[in-house]
Amino acid sequence: MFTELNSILNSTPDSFTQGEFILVSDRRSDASFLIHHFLSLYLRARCRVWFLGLVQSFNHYSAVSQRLGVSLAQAKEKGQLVFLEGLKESLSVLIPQETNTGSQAMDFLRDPAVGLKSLYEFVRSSVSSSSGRDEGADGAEEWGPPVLLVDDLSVLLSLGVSVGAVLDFSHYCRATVCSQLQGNVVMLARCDGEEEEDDEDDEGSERLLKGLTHQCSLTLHVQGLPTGYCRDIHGQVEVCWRRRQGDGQHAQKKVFQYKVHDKGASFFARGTSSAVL
Amino acid sequence: MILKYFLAEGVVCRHELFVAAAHDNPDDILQELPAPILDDVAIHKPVEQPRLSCEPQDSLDAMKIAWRYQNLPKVQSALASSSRFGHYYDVSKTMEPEIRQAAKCHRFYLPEHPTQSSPTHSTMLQSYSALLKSLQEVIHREGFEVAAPMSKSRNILRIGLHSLGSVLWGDDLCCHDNPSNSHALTTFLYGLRALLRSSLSVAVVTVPSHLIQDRALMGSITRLCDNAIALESFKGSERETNPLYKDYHGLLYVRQVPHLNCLASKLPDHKDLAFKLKRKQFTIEVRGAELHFWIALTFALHMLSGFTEPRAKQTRRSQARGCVTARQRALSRTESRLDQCIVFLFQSHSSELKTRKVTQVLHNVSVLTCPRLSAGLPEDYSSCFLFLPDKRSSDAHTHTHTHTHTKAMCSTEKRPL
Repeated sequence: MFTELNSILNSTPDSFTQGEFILVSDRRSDASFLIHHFLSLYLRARCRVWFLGLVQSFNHYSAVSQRLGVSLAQAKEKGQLVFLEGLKESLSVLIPQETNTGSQAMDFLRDPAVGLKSLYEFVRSSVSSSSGRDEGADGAEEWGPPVLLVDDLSVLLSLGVSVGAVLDFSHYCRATVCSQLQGNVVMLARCDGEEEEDDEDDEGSERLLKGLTHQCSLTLHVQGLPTGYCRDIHGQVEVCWRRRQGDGQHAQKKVFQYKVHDKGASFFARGTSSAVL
Repeated sequence: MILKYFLAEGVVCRHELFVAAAHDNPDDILQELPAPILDDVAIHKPVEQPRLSCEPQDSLDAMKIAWRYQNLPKVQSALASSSRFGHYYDVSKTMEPEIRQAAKCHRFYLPEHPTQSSPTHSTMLQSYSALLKSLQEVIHREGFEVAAPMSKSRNILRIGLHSLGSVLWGDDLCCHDNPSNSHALTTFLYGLRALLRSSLSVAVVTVPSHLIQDRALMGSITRLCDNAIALESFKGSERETNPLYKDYHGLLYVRQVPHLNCLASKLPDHKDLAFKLKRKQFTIEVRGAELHFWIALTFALHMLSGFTEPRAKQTRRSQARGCVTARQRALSRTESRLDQCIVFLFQSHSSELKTRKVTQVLHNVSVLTCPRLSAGLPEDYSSCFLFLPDKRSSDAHTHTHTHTHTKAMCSTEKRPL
């Protein structure tokens, strides 16, 4: 949890906006440090977290979260965290064995044209079953609203899933988690090309990014500095609130620069990096 | 092959090897490993971080490395570090058979694995499926899995995969613009990543990126790996005759740096690396800074003739201080010349050293920067210097301004000399 980012987003473990769909995106950069922030924030806020870790192992997130002060192993034991380790599950699909013990979530690897229905079913069934259980609390702990974290969506495109299927998946997740259950969804989407480039074949990840931007209520877009590589400032984050209140859409944008440390990240207004001043 | 260095290092460190190739027999590749130089000579630390060290990662999770090459003649690498990781190799000799046979090698030679009759269970090609299956068998059999019991001593498996994505593996990524199986390689890399994360192994993969036209595909391949390095040879390109590059054989780009189990990755200090292939060695260095400096300086001096108009200088000075002034015709002409001039000026590293040199050469010069010029700065440049002949004799102070944003907001950095 990065304290400066919390003050920027006006969210603390005790109070944060519910029903939000947060899109974390990057262009030629790496925004995964923000995923760690949201993971530790929501775990500290005592929410139940469903994490689809499709690109890294559980140990990676565990090691980083340890430095941010949250123990993932403990959260998993208590039942607060449900972690889908995409890499591990995928092996049982990609290398067929006689006994297939994995969950059905990564079945889309078999035939990506079918879409992400199996992945969504995994999310829906585990999220709804737990919220049903909470109502008849038999001494179980009181958890906050459900939160779904996905890291990351662009790898699904690399694995052959179509952009439409990924957008459908995110839409269904939003409908289930945000609207029905008043929870939050955080998804990471990565992009590689330059923004101004206009390819005839609208590249998959660009389309995905555009589609997701329309669906979400808050975007954090990470980019490198426009003037190039700098050791002390790792890049810039553009935060955009897309409120959908009754009074119409109201988008507010702010740009910050950031530097990632071993134990967190610091955010500052442009030009006020400690290395510069 | 840089792959050969990786495997040679494995032999010397007594790791186990797994070599897969579609065209060259793995045995041939193994026979051509470079010979290690066994006397310990300390070589100065090159800028490139030695990813091919023999030390395993602190955590037992494994890394995946991807190397790409482009129009590259056969090179061997001899990366070294001052902390004595790694060994040095003599490219002109091959490794002794006794040393080589001491290491256990597993091979995967594609022609030996005929295509099976059963259909693949995913979008991967037969060849990649077979390779993945064979890798998993070796990892399981030899006990490289992280989850395996800790009874016997653990070793590291070094996996070298040669020329994935090429036609030799049955993949048409390199032939067509719209390949029929565009996700075969990426699915395989995903499976490989899964295998590596759950075992004590490191993989180096070479991909002929000069044959793959789709940039988005290269982007997804890079993101699926932990480390990515691209080598671009000068052979056959216009840079071969460029005097700036005459000492080097090619450029080395670090596309991706790993950050496993940590939030921040160690970014390389210098991003401007070039390599050269000597008779016995392959070295990587920071691109020649000195030559750039003098060429730039000469060019800048040629441009100075347009800068002596006094009103132009005044306007520039006040602009540098941040005041808004009316644009004058004369100024816009000089500014456009300044735009051309700035393109050649200094790179971001060791700029302090250059500043000192510059003031030694050009006394009675005041250095100003023009904020407008930051629009269109090429990527590598974080400081720009502008030289103007100064009427004041003793006032040779210099300001250096760093502009980090091209549009309205500029941040300024003052670095005292």
